[in-house]
Amino acid sequence: MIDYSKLSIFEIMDKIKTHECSAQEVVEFFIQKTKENEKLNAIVEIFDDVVEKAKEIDKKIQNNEKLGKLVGIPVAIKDNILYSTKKAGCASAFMQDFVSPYSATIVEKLLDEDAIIFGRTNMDEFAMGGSTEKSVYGVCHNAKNFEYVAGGSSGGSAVAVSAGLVPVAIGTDTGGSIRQPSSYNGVVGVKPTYGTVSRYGIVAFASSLDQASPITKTISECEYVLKILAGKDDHDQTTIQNDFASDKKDKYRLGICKEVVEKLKERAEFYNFENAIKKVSDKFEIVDVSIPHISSSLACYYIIAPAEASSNLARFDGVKYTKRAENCESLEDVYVKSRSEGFGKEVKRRIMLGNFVLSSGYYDAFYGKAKNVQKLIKKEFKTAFLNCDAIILPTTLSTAFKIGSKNSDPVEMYMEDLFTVPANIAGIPAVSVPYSLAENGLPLGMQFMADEMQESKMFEIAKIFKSQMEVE
Amino acid sequence: MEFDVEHLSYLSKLEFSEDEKKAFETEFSSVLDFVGEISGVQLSEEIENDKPILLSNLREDEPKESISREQILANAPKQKDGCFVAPLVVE
Repeated sequence: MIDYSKLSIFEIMDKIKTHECSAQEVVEFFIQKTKENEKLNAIVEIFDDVVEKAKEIDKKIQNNEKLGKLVGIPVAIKDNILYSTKKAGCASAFMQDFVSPYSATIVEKLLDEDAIIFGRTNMDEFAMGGSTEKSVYGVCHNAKNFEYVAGGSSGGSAVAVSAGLVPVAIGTDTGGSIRQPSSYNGVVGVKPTYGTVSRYGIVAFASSLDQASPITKTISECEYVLKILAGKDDHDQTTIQNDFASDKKDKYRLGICKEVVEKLKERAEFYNFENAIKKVSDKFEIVDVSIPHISSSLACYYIIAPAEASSNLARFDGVKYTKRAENCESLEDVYVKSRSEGFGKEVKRRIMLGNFVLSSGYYDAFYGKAKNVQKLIKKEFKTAFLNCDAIILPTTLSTAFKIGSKNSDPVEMYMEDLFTVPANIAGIPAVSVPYSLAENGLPLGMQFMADEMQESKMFEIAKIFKSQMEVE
Repeated sequence: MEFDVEHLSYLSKLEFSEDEKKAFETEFSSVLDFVGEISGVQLSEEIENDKPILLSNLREDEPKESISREQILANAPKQKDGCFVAPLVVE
């Protein structure tokens, strides 16, 4: 039997189209693979109609009908993405009864291209966290080492792809929630320019930062699926027309941010980073760039994201959807008791923090200031990109950590996002690519950031980098 | 910095046990020290007066087909006669 988990989506589609295999065989392979790896806790539900959907696609092929660009490819979606008539639970006890009344725009786009929406992936509750330990479904395990965290919040999506449970999984990235777990599990994950992908039908965390995007094994697959998800949407007024214009050059200029190097220097992983740069030094023109306030992105993020979350999560009130607490005497009771029972600790912490930074007397010092510092950081990136085509930096400070080892101190956990949040704060694209193994044998990801709407160039640079890493 | 857990729980529509409140106070002081870092960032007038980052491109406000009332109500914990049911607000 063919091991489809070793094939790219292009190879799988070729086999399906040339009748070498059926879509049904492919989907059954991945169902089997997911069942064998249940312990990873990456996919929390395989949708009950996947085989039926595969049969429909096989019929289309038999009838010589026009086929979509993802024909027969099983795609898993994060548990905060809506697919009509299926559950979407945001890994929260509060949302376990929720059945999607409609499909997210990106789900419609995947279906239009004949993909098979395979199932739901594990995540941190309401996408708040960096380890996929804070989930109503239980901890999700790293695909490379069971004792280690998956990363998060799109941990289930990254593990599912890394372990070969699906060829493609969709995640969401507000401060690194696609790139960090991709790095931890040795797969490719991208966060596009803000507005590239519609957020309609995705449970909002921080609307001005959220983007959904694919996680795949290779850069080419990631780029291909992202282009399918992208596009303006009447249902999301923040979407833009991103044409993925390419800017081919013989030799690209790769910027190394000196403030990032400063942060890295003392760490063992700096060796891996330096080594990688050496390997590509004749493929790129390496230049130093400066983003003086890149580190302040983290503080900005932990003000702006909770502020927006506190507002977005106000809709979960035990009236319109979500579970209602028992014995409520007043409407206020319904709100307070249902929310207190329904939300987990980290979600409550962020709602409280968000309300604090927006509250009278603190708004200017926190939220107002953060929005202005955001403008400064965005400008500093713009200036840096005048001098380089992309910035290269690690996705994370270190590899995945042991399950349970970082649960007590929220600030320590928040520090994990240091290198990923700048792209969300600046609204620019960033991709994480696996490049090396650390001393503990776990994968490390390298990140490439480019200016707004420069995804094509960013992917091109990442591909050149990746091919050099494979040369020994 | 005054971090009033009572007031914020009221704004957040959340309630906490005494132990949870204590834990929150300690955690919050470290989180606020951490985000308070931005108070030290110097901003030029040019940056402060610059337009806000996010601009939505609003569409025409035209009525369009949407999902049905039944579909919207399907996830409500309590519903009756096409409406959400909540405890009485006005006598």
